[in-house]
Amino acid sequence: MNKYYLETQMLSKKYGQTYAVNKVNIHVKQGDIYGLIGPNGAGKTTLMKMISGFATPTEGEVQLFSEEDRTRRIGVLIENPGLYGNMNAFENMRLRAVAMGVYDRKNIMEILDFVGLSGDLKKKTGKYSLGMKQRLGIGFALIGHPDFLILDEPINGLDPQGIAEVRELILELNRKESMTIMISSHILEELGKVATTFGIIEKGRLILELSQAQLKQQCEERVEIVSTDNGRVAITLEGMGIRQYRVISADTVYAYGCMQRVDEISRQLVERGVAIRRIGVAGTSLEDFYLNTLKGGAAS
Amino acid sequence: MINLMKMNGIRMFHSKLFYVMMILCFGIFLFFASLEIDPETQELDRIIMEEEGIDADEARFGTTVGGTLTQDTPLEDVYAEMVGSGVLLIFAGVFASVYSDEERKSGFLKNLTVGRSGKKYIFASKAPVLLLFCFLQLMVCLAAVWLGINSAGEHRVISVENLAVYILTETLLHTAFGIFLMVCYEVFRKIVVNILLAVFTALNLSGFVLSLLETKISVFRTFTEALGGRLEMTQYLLVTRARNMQVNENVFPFVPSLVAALIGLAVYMTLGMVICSRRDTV
Repeated sequence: MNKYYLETQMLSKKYGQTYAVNKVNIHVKQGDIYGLIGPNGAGKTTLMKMISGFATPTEGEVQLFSEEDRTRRIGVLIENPGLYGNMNAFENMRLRAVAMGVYDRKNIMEILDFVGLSGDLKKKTGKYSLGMKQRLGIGFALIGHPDFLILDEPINGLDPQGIAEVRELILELNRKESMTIMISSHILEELGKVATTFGIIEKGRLILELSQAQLKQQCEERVEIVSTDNGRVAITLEGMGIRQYRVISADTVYAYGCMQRVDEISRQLVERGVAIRRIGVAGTSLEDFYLNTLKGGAAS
Repeated sequence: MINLMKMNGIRMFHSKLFYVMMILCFGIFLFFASLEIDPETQELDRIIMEEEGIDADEARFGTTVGGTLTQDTPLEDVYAEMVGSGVLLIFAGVFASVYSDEERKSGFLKNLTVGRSGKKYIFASKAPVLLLFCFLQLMVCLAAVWLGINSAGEHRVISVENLAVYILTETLLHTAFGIFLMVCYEVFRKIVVNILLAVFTALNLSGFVLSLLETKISVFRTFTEALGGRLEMTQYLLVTRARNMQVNENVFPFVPSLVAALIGLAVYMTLGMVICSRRDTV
């Protein structure tokens, strides 16, 4: 049995001579909130369109349910919801439900209530604010109790309150309804608050895939020690009872969970005759990590 | 497919376009039907045509709703005369184009996760809605004509059976024409181009061009002569059939029109489904 819920293999999409998505292999486990992050034009939307079945891959394949199951088991919001402006929220949702063969008035009302739009039933969607439209878009994606949600930039254009509401909605769906969610954004800080796995995409290529724990480790605050002798640094740290450390390069060691003991470490190293080039507390913000990764990706 | 058809049905009855076009059809046909049997208008028409040396049949070219009807003309002949004006073809074409354009512009297609093999059904599911629209349009116009001409004296229907077959055949011809424009929309995706195309073809200007080609260009002449010498391709165009059909079968037989409609439906449906299944939905 496949250990991944969604897996793509060498997935590519070419427009003319340009690859919008280039040989992407992503892996999403059941129950994950997979955060797809990348700058504008990186290929996030195209990748999601191919996974949803809207766009046909030029090469590669998507392993996610059978063709017949896709209609019912996937809920999709690509960029912004497609709505008939002359209809209200209920009428729009009814159309999608009828098209899927799952029309149930009560279910639609429950979803509208869940996304906080049950009070605006008479209002035509053409007069909705962007925030209301995005919430309705998520509501659309929930019709028919899907197992897998694909949300492309769901917080685009929202004010801080709207962003917080959508974030809570996503976490609730993941926790209470056990939905596996794939969400894209170009704002890492927001994704960092909800995603359990991250995929960083740039120029159509997936340059890094890592779990929340791995990301945390990458960005965690630590004591950075640059010296001429990593071996003696390690012995010194062990001697001080500091077991969480990593040798990063020939002259650099990172020590974790000991930010208050920098002076003590420094003194001990000097006493043991280690030539210290640099010592201090450092940490990478999510943003720095993301930007450094993009630079690395671009360089490679 | 059935679900998509139901969805399209609901959408059509929620669309302002549907009601606007029905009211327009009713209004136009009521107005012209009243004029048709107005003795003063008829006399004026006759004088103008005599002065300009226009043949009565020629007067039907274009959207001119007029002709040589008298107060004794049966209702179905007045009706066929008015349907033959091409107004309903334009309406069917405009409806098909705008209906497809609304769907694309709203982005609603993004909500239909039908998968790769299901894309063709998105196109196919609009055909029954178009069929229903064309049928209702013809019925609304029948009511308008009935009201319009009976306001000045009773006009009877001579053969209900012939009228029913006529309406059925016209419905299919109009639907096939609408689907042709839906295919054009899928190709060009420009509403202005599509509406111009609807008007251009509904006025049978394309038939006019084709008949010129048939008579003037030797390749075409050779081709038609090879097929028996009597074949005129323009006679088998959907628009030609839709505009020239008469309720009296002896004047213009139903079967060739029915065949042309069915072939048109099959060809354009297949073409539309193939285009849609090969293209990305959004």
